[in-house]
Amino acid sequence: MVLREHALKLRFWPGGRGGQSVDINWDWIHACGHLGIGELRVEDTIGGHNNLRIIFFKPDTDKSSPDAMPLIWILRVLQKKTQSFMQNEIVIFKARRALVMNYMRNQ
Amino acid sequence: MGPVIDKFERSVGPKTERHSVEMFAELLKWQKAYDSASPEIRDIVDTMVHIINDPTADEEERLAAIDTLEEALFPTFTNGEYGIPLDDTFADNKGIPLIDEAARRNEKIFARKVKAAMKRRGMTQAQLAKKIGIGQSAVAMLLSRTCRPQKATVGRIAKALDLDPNDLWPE
Repeated sequence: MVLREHALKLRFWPGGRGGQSVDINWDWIHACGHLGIGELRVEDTIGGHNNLRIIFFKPDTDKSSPDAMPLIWILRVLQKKTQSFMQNEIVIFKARRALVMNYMRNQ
Repeated sequence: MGPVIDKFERSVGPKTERHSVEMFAELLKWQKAYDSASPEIRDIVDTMVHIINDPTADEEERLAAIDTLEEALFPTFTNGEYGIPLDDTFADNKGIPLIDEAARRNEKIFARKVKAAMKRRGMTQAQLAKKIGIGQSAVAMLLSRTCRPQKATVGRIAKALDLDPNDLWPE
């Protein structure tokens, strides 16, 4: 529930190339940032877990309606254990993004 | 389809007579879903099965791959798991309390004490925002309880206002 609270801050999408808006700390994931996949870093320890990351996907759909709130999808929440994401994790992020894209196409 | 059967056997465990009918029915369901899936979805399923069977993958990766595989074959998108449009989760707030009562109390205390301290110091939202390195609108949202602050932000605000962080946000 607390994580959802933090994720909701993504509504106030700062745009650009990472940084801070509200008090969120986020960045594009190096291996898949070009696909619109980023990570929101949660600084608080929640349920005994630290180093939590909310993996999100922001489709590039804002150009047609620049004033609209951005549509952002939560792909995964995990505890980051290594400096960089593992290859399997990246593959899973991309697969989940593909499922979201597939879902959006079928809407 | 072989990989999907492998996945299926992993999820239901070893075959036993007791479960054989259920397993067969379940297997047919998976087979049908896979057969009727688009090539793109089949690719995703195959990739996830590869991760599930990867000896270097850890348990979390396997579980995430299983979740993704199931979502690919049996999409839900509204069950509270991943892939929810953020606006929908926000809309939940209208009917479902997202924040526990203790957190609500803390938010109230936080907003009241920060406002009082700002007033005592004659500090504007813009000045506080500049001091702690976030935007003025972010401070406004924190004070109006539109957003709950992270602990690090509470700490920065406490420092900027010369207050005890535990006084601002009781544990």
